[in-house]
Amino acid sequence: MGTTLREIVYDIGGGIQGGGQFKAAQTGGPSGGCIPTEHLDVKMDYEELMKLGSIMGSGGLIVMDENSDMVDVARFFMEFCVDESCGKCVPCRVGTKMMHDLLQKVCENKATQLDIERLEELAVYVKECSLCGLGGSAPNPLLSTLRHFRHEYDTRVQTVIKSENLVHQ
Amino acid sequence: MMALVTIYIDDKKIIANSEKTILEVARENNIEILTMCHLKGLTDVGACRLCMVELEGSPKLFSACTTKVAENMIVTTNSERIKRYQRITTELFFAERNHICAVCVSNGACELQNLGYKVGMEAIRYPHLFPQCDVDTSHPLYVMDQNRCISCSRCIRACAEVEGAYNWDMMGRGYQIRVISDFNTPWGESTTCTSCGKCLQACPTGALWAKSIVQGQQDKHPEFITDLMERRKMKL
Ligand code: SF4
Ligand code: SF4
Ligand code: SF4
Ligand code: FES
Repeated sequence: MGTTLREIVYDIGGGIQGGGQFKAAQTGGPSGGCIPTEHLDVKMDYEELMKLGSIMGSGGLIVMDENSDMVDVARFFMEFCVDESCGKCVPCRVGTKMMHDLLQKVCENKATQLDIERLEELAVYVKECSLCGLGGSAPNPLLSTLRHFRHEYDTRVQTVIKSENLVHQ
Repeated sequence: MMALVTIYIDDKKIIANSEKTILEVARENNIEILTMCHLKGLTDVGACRLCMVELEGSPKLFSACTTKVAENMIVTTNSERIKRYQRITTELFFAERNHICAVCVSNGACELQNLGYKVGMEAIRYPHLFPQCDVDTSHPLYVMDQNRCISCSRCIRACAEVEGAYNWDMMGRGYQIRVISDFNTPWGESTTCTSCGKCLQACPTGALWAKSIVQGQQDKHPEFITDLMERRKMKL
């Protein structure tokens, strides 16, 4: 508790494998959030992680280098939640599936700006309306990648507009 | 222990019995809260999340059908946030399976369709999942069409709690859950169903319907379930 993320990654963990650049760390397992480079010096405890939109959760820590695609990371964790949802309440049962499918669309460069807005709206809705903690935390990876890596979503959407323009010319 | 408490729902001051839920108290006082999985007389499960309300002092939302009233509770049922969430829940219901009202037995007398009108749903902004769903026509009198099912479990509870037959159950998990008869066998081969029709009356959509009716003619009477339970309580 209170050790910085930088110390854990570089001193205790021995740095990034293969000598790559640190990009983000996912804390708290699939319901946690990711922490970008600018917050490498965050002290790992409940309050500080909460401020960055992440959690201690299971205590799990996944470190990613510059080759990681953050939208795909969000999609991957959402897939886990889709599988784990028990199916009793609507926000988690249908909402996680919708968020997953929309994230898939972004990954495939097929999403529009409207899809990103839908994702943002659904994420907060599922978080606030779900019956249990699984649905309550399922949107966390999506919300935190949207917060810290928004440009990765936006560039995907722009690619769509460009390729559409090409078709129309 | 029963006690009287003072609560405020949308600025209306109400003296209420502490054994009751926010939903019961609201309805007794003519304050509308939208519901889908709730059916008076059956145990509440808090599954559809349509009845979410805000409670002052808490950032969380609460399902009105499963939350009991408490002293000095300040409830908001009609904020912009609540209305937005009701619309999303409704759209997710429609997007989850297959609801082509024009060819549905319940067209014109469907709780889900009415809900769409009530929340002012103009379009479904989410991709339809259109899963592969079965239609079970094996029962001599009734049909179960998974395409129209919203997994509210009202049929399951009506069959178990009112009829006592326990024919229905839920199978699977996540978006792949399905209502099943007995051990996922055809309804017509059920060893528990008494063919009483209560599940059909309890069902809010065109998922359960009678073979004797034609398209658009299936009006339902969920109040039968409520009345039965009221009379049972009074030992009439
Ligand atoms: S069940 Fe209701 S909403 Fe669904 S298709 Fe039938 S009438 Fe429409
Ligand atoms: S008809 Fe009656 S006994 Fe048969 S499944 Fe429906 S509620 Fe149960
Ligand atoms: S069959 Fe009807 S009552 Fe049963 S879960 Fe589906 S929609 Fe609800
Ligand atoms: S009516 Fe309250 S959760 Fe469905």
